[in-house]
Parts: sequence; C-alpha cells; structure tokens
Amino acid sequence: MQRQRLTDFELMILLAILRVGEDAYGVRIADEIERTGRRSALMGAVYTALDRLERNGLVSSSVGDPTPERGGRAKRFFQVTPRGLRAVKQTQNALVALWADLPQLKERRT
Amino acid sequence: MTGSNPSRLAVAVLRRFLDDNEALAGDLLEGYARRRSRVWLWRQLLGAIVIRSFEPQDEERPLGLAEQRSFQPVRRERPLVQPWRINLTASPLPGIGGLGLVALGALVALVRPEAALIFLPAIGGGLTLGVALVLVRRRGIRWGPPAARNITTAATGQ
Repeated sequence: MQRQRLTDFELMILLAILRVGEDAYGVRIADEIERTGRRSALMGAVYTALDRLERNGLVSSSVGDPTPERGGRAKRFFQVTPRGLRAVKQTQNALVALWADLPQLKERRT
Repeated sequence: MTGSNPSRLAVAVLRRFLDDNEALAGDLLEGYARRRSRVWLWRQLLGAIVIRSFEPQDEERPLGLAEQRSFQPVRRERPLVQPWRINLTASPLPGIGGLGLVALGALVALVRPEAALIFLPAIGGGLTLGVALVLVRRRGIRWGPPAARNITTAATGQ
C-alpha cells in the first residue's frame, strides 16, 4: 500500500476536521486551527489544501443549505475518509518515533 | 476598522474574484459577521485572490461539468492564429489590468501603509516599461515569436 505523505498544514486540517466533527466547514476548521493549533490560517489556503486533500481521497465533502449570514451561500462540510485517517495515523507514528528518546526535548525537572 | 456590514468594495471584489467558489465566499462573509473586522476581511480576500492566482489551471476538474448551463454550439469567428500581443499591465492575475492593479495596490497600502514603499516604485517601473514598449513599437520594430509570424504570413499569402 502506498504511503500518503502529508504536509504539516494538511495534517493540521485533517486533525481539525476530526476535532470539529460533523460541523466541519471552512470557518470552523480555520477557527480550530487558530485556537487549538495556535496558527493563523488564511481561508484561501485552507480551501486550497482541502481541495488537494479531496483530490487525493483523504477527505470528502458535501454541500449544506445556504444561510442569510453567508449572503445566501451554502456551506461545504468535510469529512475525513478512512484513507485520510490511515494517513493521519501513519504520520503520527512517524512523528512519535522521531520524537522518542531525544534528550534535548525531555522536560527539565527542578 | 470595524463595521456591521462589509464595505461595498469588499463585496464587489468578493463577487468579482471568488464568487465561483460559493463555500469560500460564504465563509468569508460569515467570518466577517462574527469578527466585524474589515482588516480581517481584506486580509482574507487578498490572500485568497493571490493564492488562487497561483493555483495550476490545467487540472482536470470533472465537477465543473455540473454547471447548469445548456450546451450551445459556438461558431468560431476569430482566426486560429492571433496576432501576438504585449501585456503592458505586467499583471499575472487574471482579470486585473493596469487600473485594477493600481486599485489593488492602493487597497493593500490602505491596510498595510508600509506596503506603499513597495507598490509605488513597482507602479512607476511598470509605467516606465509600458511607455518604453510603446515607443519601441511606434518605431516599427516587430515583436513576437518568429513561428507565429510565419504562420500568419503563409495564411494570408503575403
């Protein structure tokens, strides 16, 4: 099986979708990245990454109902696919293995 | 800079450049409704336009077939070989010409005043280059790829 490589921003988006759950659309995903990930996110960059993830089969999307506060425009809800979840787990395993046993990163106890 | 509604200019820019991405346009309006920050909206708008302008345009987009337009055969009226044109605007953004680029620069300078230090020399350089190209063309120097000129000559029999 081919391993899926993720950029750090793609990984943050996938994790944000998983954290938000069923209500994962652009605004909520960007808010989650900014609040939990402590990283500012341009909405255009979020959508560019989401389109790329969808082309690669890591997320899927569905269109919701239009609302007045959005100027009558519909929301696009995103879900992580099983393939996307596997990619997140693979990335987590790789990062945890790289982090392990690094004395520079161990907390100093006073 | 805050306000209850986004400025007309911001809405016009959003409709001009981002209206084909309904979800993104709606998210920007919803984000503005929550934050009430025009700086946030302009930052997001300009960022989205710039990011989209650098997206590859030669991708296959099968979902584009879902546009609800009836198919009308169009008769080709323009010749296959177009005369080679020089883009005097020096703008890489689709749909933005000289005045549009100046307006975009002014908007960025409004949000980030220090950006004027970059835009003013760039606009001056662009105008100088445009005037120089016009002067060169008026002196009768032909520009363009040789292959295109040969095809045109062969087609017209000259």
